[in-house]
Amino acid sequence: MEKSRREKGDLMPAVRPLNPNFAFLALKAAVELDNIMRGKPSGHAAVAELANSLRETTSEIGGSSLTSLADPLSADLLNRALEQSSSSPLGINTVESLVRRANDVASSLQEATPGSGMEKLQTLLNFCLALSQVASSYQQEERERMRPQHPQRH
Amino acid sequence: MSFEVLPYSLARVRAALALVSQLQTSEFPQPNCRDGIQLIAEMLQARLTLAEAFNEKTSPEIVDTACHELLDTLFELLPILGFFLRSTNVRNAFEFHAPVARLVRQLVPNFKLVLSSEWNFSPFTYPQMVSLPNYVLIGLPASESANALALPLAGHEIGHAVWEKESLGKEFRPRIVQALLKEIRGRWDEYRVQFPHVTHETLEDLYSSRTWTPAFKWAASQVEECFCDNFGVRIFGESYLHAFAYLLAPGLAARNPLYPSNQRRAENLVTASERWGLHLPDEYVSNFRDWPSSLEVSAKFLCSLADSTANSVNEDLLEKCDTIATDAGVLPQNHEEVSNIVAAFRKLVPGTGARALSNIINAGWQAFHDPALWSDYPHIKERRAAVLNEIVLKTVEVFEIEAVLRGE
Repeated sequence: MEKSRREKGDLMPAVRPLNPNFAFLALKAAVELDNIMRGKPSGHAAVAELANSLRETTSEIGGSSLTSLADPLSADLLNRALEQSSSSPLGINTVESLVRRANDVASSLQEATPGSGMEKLQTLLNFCLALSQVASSYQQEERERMRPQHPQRH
Repeated sequence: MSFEVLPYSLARVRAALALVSQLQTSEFPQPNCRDGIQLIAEMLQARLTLAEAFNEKTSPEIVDTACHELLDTLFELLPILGFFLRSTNVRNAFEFHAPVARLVRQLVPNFKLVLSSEWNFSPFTYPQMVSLPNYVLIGLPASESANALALPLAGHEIGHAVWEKESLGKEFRPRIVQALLKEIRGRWDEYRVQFPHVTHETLEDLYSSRTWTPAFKWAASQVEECFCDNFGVRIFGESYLHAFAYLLAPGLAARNPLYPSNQRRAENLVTASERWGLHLPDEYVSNFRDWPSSLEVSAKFLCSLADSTANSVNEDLLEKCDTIATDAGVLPQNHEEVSNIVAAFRKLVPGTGARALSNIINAGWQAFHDPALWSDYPHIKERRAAVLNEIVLKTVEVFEIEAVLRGE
């Protein structure tokens, strides 16, 4: 029987720094956006899935302070990706502003079409690439924790 | 001479896929390995297909990120392929597989177990962070992979799968944040020495939070490791403490902030033992040592915050371990059953009628510590440890046959 995509680890209910395949999902979304920008026929599946993940994450973050967060690392990952993909400082200092900004990005991803404008598409593409890179670095840190390179790993 | 990264990246993935194809032709006594290798093949192929479609018009930033992700994926997956391959090695004690798989099914239904060995002196698991969802991959050090008495350490590794399945990270994270912030506020003067720009008002801002995010990561990691140690005690009883000490005492010198200190781990094991009415080995904690930390001042301070934070939730972790194991029908150590099995060992016969794998291993440890064991059999004395291991493994086989006959 064909395995479901979730069983294959392809589905991300929410942006989690340590979610397997998350960096790949963000990369695929970037490729789809690149195709849209170049007028190349392309699916929209990864972009839509990433947008859903962002929505899920911001609904989990929910509250207005870090103490109400389900996972401060998710907030850190999103914040770093937003900062890294922006040419100017975003000044996101509060959880509320982070949630608002991430929701804006999720909406823009859901609505991304050739008519969205090159500048906006490029911003989204940059965000997806930054998210992929930051997620990779988180994943690498976790791998080093969980695997026995460190002599005290048990 | 120059080079381009993309052709190298593509070649590396193709080489990995060729290796996967070779492995797929191998015999695997554990069928879960074959499924896992197929998953890995699909993951590699998906990445290769994406990257092969790149051309001169593709944004260089996309190519760079893809090459990075491809490399990271290889770092991630290649060790797992090796792990699957080593699972076929006859050095592993295959007697363990079915009983441990049953334990895993009880605790984390739908997870697939692969038992293997590692060329690192450290038992470990590849938990959910790897790209094989719903797999529990447990490896014992190659030199110990046939040692029945080391098996309880698998309890710690099953704990990681339970942690994931029960979403305990999500449950405990808010508590960890709150405990950490309370700890910081309680040591505010020390904190300000390290981070003078942070005020009470800005402590929870995203910007300021980066000052304590490392402590949060360490505390969250320590909490998970504490849970797994406690869980090992809950499901393997006293034998967990013996196996832990056998493999790790007195502890290595370098402090890893992602783990509790050597003594703290030993103290936690003692606390867990007391909770579940287990007999403690004499002077258990004093056999573990911590050496002066080589962390720099700021990291040392953050590590101490993480330590205190992790300690503050240990009682809740014990409660959680007990609830999960009890609800799953995992029996605690039964002293009477252990004594019966030890009595059989003294007669040089396998124990029968065991209701839990842990009781067999506990009997093995009791026999191991009995100076009078087989003193009437001088021909066995020289190979006492090997004979004991054989008889424990044989008892595990009997246990499995009895379980099958009971329809479990």
